[in-house]
Amino acid sequence: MKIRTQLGIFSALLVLLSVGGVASFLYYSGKKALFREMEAKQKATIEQLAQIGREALLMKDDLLLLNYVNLIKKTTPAVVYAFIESPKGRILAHTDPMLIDAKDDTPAAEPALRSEGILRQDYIAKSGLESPSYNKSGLESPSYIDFSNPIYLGKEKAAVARVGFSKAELDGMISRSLAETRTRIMGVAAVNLLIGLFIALLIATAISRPVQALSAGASEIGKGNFYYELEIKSKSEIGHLASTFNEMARQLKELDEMKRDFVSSVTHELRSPLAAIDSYISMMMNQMETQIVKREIPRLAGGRATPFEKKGEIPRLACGGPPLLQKGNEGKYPVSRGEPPLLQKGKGESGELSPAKSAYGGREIEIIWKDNFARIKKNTVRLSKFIDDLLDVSKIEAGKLDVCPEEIEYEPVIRDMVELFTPKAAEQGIDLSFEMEKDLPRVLGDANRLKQVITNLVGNALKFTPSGGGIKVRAFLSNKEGGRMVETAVSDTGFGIPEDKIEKIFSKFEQVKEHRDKVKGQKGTGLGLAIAKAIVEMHSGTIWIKSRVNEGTTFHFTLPAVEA
Amino acid sequence: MAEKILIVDDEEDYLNLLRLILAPEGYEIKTACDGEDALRQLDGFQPDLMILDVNMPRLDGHGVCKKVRENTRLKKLPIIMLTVRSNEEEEVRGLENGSDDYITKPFEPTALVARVKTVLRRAAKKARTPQI
Repeated sequence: MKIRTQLGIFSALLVLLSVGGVASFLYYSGKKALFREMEAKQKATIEQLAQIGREALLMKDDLLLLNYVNLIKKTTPAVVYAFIESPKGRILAHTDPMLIDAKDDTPAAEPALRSEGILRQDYIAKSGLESPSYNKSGLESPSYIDFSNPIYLGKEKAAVARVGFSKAELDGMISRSLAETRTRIMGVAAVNLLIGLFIALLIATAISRPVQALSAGASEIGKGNFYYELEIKSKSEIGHLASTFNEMARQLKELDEMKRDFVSSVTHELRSPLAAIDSYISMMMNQMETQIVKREIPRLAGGRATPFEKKGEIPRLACGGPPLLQKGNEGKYPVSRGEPPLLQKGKGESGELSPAKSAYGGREIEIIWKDNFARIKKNTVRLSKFIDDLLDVSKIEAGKLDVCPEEIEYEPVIRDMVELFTPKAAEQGIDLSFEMEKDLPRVLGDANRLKQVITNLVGNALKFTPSGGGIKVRAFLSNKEGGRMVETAVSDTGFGIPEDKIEKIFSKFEQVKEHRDKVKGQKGTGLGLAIAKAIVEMHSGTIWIKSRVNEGTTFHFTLPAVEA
Repeated sequence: MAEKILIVDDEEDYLNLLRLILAPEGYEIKTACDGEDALRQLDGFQPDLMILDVNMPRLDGHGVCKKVRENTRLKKLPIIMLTVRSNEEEEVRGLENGSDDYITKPFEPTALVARVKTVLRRAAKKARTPQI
């Protein structure tokens, strides 16, 4: 759940709880006050009746008494009856004129007559006798609250004033009044609740926004965008966290730049000496060839066959021709360049250099040296390739890889590269075939960079295809969303790439480990595919893979076709 | 008469290597260890070809190339640039500055000799054809 939602729900609950608490407190205290007020009013009524009753008794004014009793009933709706009775229980004045002079027989009469002060008693009517008006509601015997107050003339108890309130009426009044209070409180609470919820939402948003920004920033940095900077200018812990985060991003950026500078300067520094070694070796190999040729040509011309000739090795070695003649060959197949002529020798013929043949001593050491040179050369070339790849990668990362697409004929580019690999494929027992759709339009591309892509893909396929397998390179026209594209597919019958690895295959130094172990001899650098991807994307093309484990892999990439 | 080649590189290893490759071909070799040294030597010396490394301290290959082209006497001196890597930007810059060819390190000795021969032959041909 989002932090904002969580915070929102939490603070909304808090608001709800506090508003509810305050409202119910207000309600209950309101109710209590209401009860107190009511009782005070009732007492005031009985006290007033007692007061008036005393005056009337003093003045023997029965009429005043009767009028007042009726007035009470009229002005106070809850009053059911009000009367004055003698200490013996004879009614002197009553709201019901029929009962005047009658004997009071209510259940409350006895305690009321004995009481010395104001007495409050609740009772339920026995029958309808107390007052005809009691039975208005009929079915149920009504219950009353009876207040009595003795009236003294001097020290003598002259009479008792009594007022009866209808309990039902009182309850009705109270509940009406309470309902009113409730409505009032509810209204206020509802307004408060709305305001509270709104504020809660604001708070939740205010707190969660920087957290969301932080989270977004972290994922940006996770993707490698070290230039991301958070703009949170709060002084809270979150603000502190944000500035720490920015600092961290800055350091990561510095580290990244340092790494890039390091790689680029190291590779630059490595290149020059490596190139020197490479050139020296080439020169020494040439010198040796020249020496051998100089010596062997007169000998061979003399018609004397050497034991090497019978083995078919020396002619390759000695009659390889002057260095210039070999050049074309080497330039064309740099991969096979420097393959040591004695490579096959290792396969079970190691005993060849037996003392019996040492008549040619000097020449045999030449053969060994030549082999050694070739091996040094091969490794130098490999190292150079790795450094070139590293440089390309550092250029890609710095956005400085130079790709200059122009309108080019695609066929020669791809055919050259396939031909370049044909000997190597044959050597590995892999069938390398090439298919090109007829009348393919020209493409927008940088020939050298495209050659690099094809080299990487075909080289990769060769590496992961076992002997007896096949590699097929196809180029055809395909209609993609971005318009007409020339698509190239390099399919192999290799080990295939597990699904979970496909996504990462274009990352730097990413190789499928199990497969890497299966590859014999030279391992890749793990940079080729990353470079290929960058180059294709700089051509506004796309590159993708389809692969099935143990069936093979197909790399596809597209290049924009030039519209005729 | 042997053709004279001035080789300019700040790395002694390359000077030695180029000498070892070119001397057996019958050229007369002179070497300079940086751009300024090369200009100093050119003051009293007219080679038939200059092989010029691009990356050098003090005055780099491009700088030397420009200076040489500004000099009336040396204006037509054939120059082969030597760069560490085939880099189109460098190549274009070199050719713009007036070099005749470029070779990338590492190079095949045979390829180097072939380039040197080609450039020298072309220069000789140009010299024979009168300018219009």
